[in-house]
Amino acid sequence: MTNGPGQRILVVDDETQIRRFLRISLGSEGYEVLEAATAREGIEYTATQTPDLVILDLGLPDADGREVLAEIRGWSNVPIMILSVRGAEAEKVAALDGGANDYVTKPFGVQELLARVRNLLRQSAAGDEAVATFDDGHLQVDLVQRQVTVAGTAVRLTRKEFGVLRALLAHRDRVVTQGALLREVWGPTHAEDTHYLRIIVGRLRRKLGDDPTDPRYVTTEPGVGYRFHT
Amino acid sequence: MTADAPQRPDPELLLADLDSERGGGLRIFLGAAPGVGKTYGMLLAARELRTQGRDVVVGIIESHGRAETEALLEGFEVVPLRALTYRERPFEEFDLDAVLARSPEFVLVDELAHRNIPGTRHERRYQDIQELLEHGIGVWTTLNVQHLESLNDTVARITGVHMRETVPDSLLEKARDIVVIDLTPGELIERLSAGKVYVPEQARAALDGFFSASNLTALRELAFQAAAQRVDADLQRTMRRHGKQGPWPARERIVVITDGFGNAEQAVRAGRRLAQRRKVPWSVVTVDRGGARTVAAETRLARVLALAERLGAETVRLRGSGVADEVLRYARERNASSIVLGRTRRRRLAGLFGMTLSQQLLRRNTEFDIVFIGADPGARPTRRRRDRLRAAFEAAGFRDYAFAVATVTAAGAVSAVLEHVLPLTLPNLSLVFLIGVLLVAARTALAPAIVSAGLSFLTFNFFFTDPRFSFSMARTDEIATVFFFLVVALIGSHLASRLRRQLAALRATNEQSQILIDLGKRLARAADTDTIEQITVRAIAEFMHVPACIRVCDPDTGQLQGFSAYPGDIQLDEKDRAAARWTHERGQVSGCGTGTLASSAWRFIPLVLDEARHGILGLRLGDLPVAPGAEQLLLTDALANQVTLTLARSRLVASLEHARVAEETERLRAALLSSVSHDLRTPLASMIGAAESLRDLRERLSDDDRRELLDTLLEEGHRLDRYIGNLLDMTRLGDGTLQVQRDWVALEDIVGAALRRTRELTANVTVQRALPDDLPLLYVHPALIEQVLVNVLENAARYSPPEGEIAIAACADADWLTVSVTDQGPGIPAEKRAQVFDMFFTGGDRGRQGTGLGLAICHGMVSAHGGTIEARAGPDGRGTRIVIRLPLTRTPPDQAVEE
Repeated sequence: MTNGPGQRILVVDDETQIRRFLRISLGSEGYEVLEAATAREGIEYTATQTPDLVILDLGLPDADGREVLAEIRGWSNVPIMILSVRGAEAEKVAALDGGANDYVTKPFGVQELLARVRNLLRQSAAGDEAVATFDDGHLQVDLVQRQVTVAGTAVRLTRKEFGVLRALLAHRDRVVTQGALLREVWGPTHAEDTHYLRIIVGRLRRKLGDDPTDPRYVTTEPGVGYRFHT
Repeated sequence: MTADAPQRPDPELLLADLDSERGGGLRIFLGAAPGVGKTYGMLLAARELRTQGRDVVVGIIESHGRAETEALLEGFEVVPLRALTYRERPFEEFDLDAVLARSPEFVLVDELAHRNIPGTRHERRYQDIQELLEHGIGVWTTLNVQHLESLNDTVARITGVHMRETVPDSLLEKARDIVVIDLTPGELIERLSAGKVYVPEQARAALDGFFSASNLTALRELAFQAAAQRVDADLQRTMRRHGKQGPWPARERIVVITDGFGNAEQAVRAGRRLAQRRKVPWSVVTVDRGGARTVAAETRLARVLALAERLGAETVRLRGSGVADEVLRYARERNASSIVLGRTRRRRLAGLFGMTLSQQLLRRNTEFDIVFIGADPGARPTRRRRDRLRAAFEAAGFRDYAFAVATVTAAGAVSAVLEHVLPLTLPNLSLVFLIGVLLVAARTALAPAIVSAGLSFLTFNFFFTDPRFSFSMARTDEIATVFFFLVVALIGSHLASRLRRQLAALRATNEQSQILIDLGKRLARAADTDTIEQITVRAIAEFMHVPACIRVCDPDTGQLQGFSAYPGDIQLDEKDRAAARWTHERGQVSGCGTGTLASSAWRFIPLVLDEARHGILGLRLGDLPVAPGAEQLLLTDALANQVTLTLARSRLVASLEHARVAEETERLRAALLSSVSHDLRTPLASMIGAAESLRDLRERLSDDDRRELLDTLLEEGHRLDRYIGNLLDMTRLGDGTLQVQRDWVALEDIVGAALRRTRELTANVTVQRALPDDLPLLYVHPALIEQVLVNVLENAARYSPPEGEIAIAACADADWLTVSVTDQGPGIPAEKRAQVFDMFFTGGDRGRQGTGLGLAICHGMVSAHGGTIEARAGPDGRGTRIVIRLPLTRTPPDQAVEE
């Protein structure tokens, strides 16, 4: 499936105004927009209309958005983007851990939303094959050779630093929850030891030459996790 | 008030009058003797009342099977009697609760002086009647004059019969009217011999003498006197009510001295009569000199004091070594006019030296009338001396006497050795024995000391005087020595034992004060009612060695609530609960050792202060091996008092706090309303205006104009979002649902997130960051601290001049991480720097879009983390620096990051 106009996006939200605004903005980018106002409709359309992306509001009148998520994930790998409100970090983490691919916080800007949508559709198109390298001219990472170069200078990463970088790069441009990172790099018994992650991410940023308060590569999603920006 | 001042009616009396006029009041049918027809007369009058359409019911009528009385009962609604079992025999008793529930206008309750069967609420029927009156129910009752408390002695003198069932005279005063049922003695005797008077079989013999013509005449006169006295009192009340000065003197107190012995009861009654006649208050005082007292003596005294209280006296226990001194001091303090004392016994020796109480009083006193109440010539006076001696012996045990004998033996042995080794003369040897006697007196009690003095005297006489080994003495000087020894030993032992007694009394007093201080100290630490309850029951159970419980009442409803006891598993049964309830409702002591619901093992003391009820305190005094003495009861009262004060204090604090919170809430509510209406509507107005312009005026707008309107829409939307976020945060902070979910977080991340969220606001200023690389991790709720920084940055951006600079800096020491945000705005005047953290404080310029919530939220959130936030002047006194300090309470477990 190619990336671009013609792709089908299902918006599941009970708010008419939000649906209307998404229909207009997504439509202007050439996407075909389907609308569902309830959880039941959302699940039904996902099954019958085979959308390429689902935008799912967590607050639905007839069911919790997370139930919809679990239902869909039972039989489909369609990328799902969650709409949530600020302050509900735990909800976002649960949704991400429950199989959602990304989230935006209401109220959100159109530009940000469109960027995320593009990103999700692109990754979905690329399939699950892992990209083993990253190179933007400033930072080069070879995951197979375990080599990292910043501005032409080789940087030595510790095992854990490299582990975190690899995990983030595997889901580049997508948020990885801190629980997932901890489980993957430190193992399931350390899923609560967030301070490991803070220390390692701090060191990693320093080695990558990132400004910790305004990072270029590894950004923090407060209370949720980290994202590697390409 | 001077004599010339306008005489206003006495308000208290007016109130009392109103009080007694509420409901039907009390009517007493007073007779001189049984059989005069009181019950009959009462029923006759009640029928009359009923025909007037009034609601009259019969509570109890003792018809004693007389047909004419029973005939009168016909047609009356009779409240059924309550069936009771006492000592496995069935009884029927007046049912107070049933009448209270029926709540008639009038109830007929025969025999005011009746004593209730144990198991009913009150010991005496007059208490039932008092309760009925308090509920506004009119009561008609009957009374024979000999049952009046103050006439008890007189009646006994006249008839030779002592009445056990007396009623307080105050009832007669309380009665709205008194109806004297009169029958001439001749007619009564006729009725009696005709069998028309009910006399219990077993009392017939005793009463035969009672119904003599002379007795009946005297009793009849007494009845008239009692009624007349009441009329007199009525007259005076009326005069005072109308503001007329009566013939009564200034308020001067009558003080009755008693030790419970002799004709103490008579003296008390005489004191009462005197006080009543003079219309003055009166006190009955007793002076505790710290000596040993037998249980019997203590009981007698308690009984006399209880009588005094029943008769309306104030009872006082004074402590001191000299009775006369203490009494005179008290009399002066209380502005007494007369001192009344009874006769106890003849103290001929003391009288010889002018040492009797009466002599001392007469000698020292210059201002008081001293009234002696003569003893009944026939009555056998209780011998106090004998009692005292008995007390001295009671106080000493076998060990004490053994000690006395051993000491004398030792003294004899030492004397023998001394006489042998050093040739000592007899007077010197007597000193050895004297040491022994004093030792015994100081260590034990008076009786063993006297025994040891006697033994010493005999030993000394037998072994050391010539002729030896004989009780006879030859030499005059030796006789003198031996007798002087005896006198000195007796005086010495008396003094030593008195010293000891006083010490013991002092110790007891001390112990009590200590208990009170101790309770006070413990209670001082209690902040809430629950803690007070816990501390109280525990402390009181410990002090009194019996289980204790407390129930406090709800200050609003007055209902008893909660129950704390020590030991914790103590339960109250139905009887106890009834007593507790009664005490609470009536504000009077009930249960064990009182006249009300005495079958309960508990004694309940009301916790009342200035008529405000705070609950009740219960002590299971029934657990004590002997009935508690007056001292102990006084102590319990004092303890209860202290608890009441503490409860009152805690309630006052709580209600003040409540008022303060209510006021604060009201103020915030008003501020919130004005904030909502202003801060929600302003951005909405802009948005509506901008959107409408875009829709309706699109063709006429330039591209720039359109862009500007669209920017307005966006900006105002964001502003509204921030405002609503703040309101939500504030609500969560305010209602306590805000939970600090801590996580390890790097300050850089928080600063980064806050900067990203404020990017649009800070577009016109430069943000400088100075965060050291080695900042420790924070253990905080990241979203909350991020919000704090967002609000502070928003504020800084709002007040910054265009192209200004905002500096974010951080540093850490061992315990705190400090973040500061400095702007180059106008700054905050020093006196307002604390205020900016108050809710809805906007510095007076809403033009800058401040909602007055931002910094208040910062304060709340930082406080929730145990940190501080303050506003300072910027460097060089320009701008504002907000300094946030967060505690580094935990260092992250740094192990194993790389493993």
